[in-house]
Amino acid sequence: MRFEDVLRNWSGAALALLGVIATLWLAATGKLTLYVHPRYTLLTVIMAVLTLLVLVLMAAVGRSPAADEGRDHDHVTRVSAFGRLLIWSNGAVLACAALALLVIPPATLSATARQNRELVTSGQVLDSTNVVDLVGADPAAFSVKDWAALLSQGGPEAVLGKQVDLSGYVLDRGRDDVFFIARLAVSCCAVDAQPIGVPVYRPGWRDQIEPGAWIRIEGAFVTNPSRDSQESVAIGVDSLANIEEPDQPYVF
Amino acid sequence: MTERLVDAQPTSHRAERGAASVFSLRRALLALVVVATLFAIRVTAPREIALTDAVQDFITLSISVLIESLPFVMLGIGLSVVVQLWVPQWVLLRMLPRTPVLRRAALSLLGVLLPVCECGNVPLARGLVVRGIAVPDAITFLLAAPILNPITIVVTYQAFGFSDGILFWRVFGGFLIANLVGWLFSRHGRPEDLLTPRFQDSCKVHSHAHEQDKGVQALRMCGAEMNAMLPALVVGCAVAGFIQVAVSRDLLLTLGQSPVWSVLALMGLAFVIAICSTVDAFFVLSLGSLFTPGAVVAFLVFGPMIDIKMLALMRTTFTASTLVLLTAVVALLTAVLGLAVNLAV
Repeated sequence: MRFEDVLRNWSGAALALLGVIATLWLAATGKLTLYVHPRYTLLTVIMAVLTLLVLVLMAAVGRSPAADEGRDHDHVTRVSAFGRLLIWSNGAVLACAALALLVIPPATLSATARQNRELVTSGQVLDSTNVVDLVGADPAAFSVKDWAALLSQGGPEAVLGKQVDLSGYVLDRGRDDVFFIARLAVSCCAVDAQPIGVPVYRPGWRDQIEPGAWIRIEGAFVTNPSRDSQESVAIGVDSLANIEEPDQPYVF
Repeated sequence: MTERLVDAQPTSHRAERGAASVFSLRRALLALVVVATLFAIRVTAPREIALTDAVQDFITLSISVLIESLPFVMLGIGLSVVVQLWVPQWVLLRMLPRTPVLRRAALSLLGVLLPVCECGNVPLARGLVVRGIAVPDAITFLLAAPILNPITIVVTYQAFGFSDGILFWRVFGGFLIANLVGWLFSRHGRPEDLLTPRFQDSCKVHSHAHEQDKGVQALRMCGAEMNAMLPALVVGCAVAGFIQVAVSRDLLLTLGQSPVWSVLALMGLAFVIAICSTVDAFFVLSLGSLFTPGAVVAFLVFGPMIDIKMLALMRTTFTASTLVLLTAVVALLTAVLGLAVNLAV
């Protein structure tokens, strides 16, 4: 069987196989949620297993004999130049997909992407968080999203004076005494990730930390002393440290 | 012409009878060896490869769209094969009303029974055309099904409730546009010319496919559908990932306030972002109250019908000029709908 024929007959199956292997490997290593929202994990894994099963059966059954006969006789010479181009471009797609899905290590969105997106200040992502559950819960366990939701739904009174212990990245909103500690919130897949964050009051922060860097902050919400900032409350910092990017940088 | 027939043909007149003679244990084992080898490559691949931010983000975003949509495409391929092999043609043709307008209306409600989102609908629509559904009717189904779909409707309700009529106009407006576009394409003198020659040929082959073991036939049809769909899907995902990196989203978002520009801006966003109809409501809501209700409706109607990934998938079936026309008409009607909602609210 010629390579070109294999490519023509099996490029779809090969792409499916690459997708399946990448999916199952990501799921096994717990990294699937770097790409899709956890609610899709089950469906994605079930479909991947089913697809794998179908692919193995497809291989066992092979192509139809007619296709083989056509190939053996005058078929090869009659494939048009355009047809061959199409076959080889499928080959190129296959090679790129193999590189991206099998070789390139999984990654989170870069600091550039994290800075370029607009901060979420309202809307469903924040409104859907059940604030009632947060009231009375241990604030030390709150995520950036929990605090942002509490702030958005309950107003400044809901958070003033509360102690925080947060990890997130530095989101530069163009002010010198206030930055945001943020995380990307994923509602479907990484494509729609958007920053959610709470303001941090820290004059001269640019001298200490880089925008985009991962940090851990301990402190408490105070009335925002900054004059050129719109936020009425902000975190007053007790301690601030650079940290490694967490294994799960997103919030859902 | 004949080589194309052979090319797209999953079954054969001279095929061996029954599954037993076709099934080869040796090939199955070979396949398992390939699977194991690829797994081994994935596991032993380097832990870190230094790439620039833009390249890395392009790859991350493309893979994320691919992994998100792959299960739905596979589901669609599976349903398409089931429709082609196990749903008798007369059931489809008899159950549907004879009047074209009513038939298209009925087909656009098919999404209620088959909750697959838009990428899964392309293989399914192909299956319907092979099974004898007219091309304009299939177009109506393709446009309407992702919106008139229980999951989409529930999620849109969760996101917006009944505020500003967004839910109503998404569902009703989507239905209206899909049927209007189907009617428009039914005016075409030779609807089969809307299809790519390659797909036309595979329709002809299917229409006189011979009796054979249906399991074997189904597997070969899956293979043929994968060959048609998956390269297009991968290219579509790559383009979507590339545009995400290359086009500043803020530019679109800053247009959000004006009643006219916001509609066009969110349609542009829907086109480039290419996310599933079942979750796009969550996404657009998370953009905040930046946008006018008409713009949100336009996003929610246009996105499921037309986006980069969908165009790549539909190109497997429809000619380029059909898709240009389809995109233009749908964009125009959606813009009108969005502007009308903005005027009314």
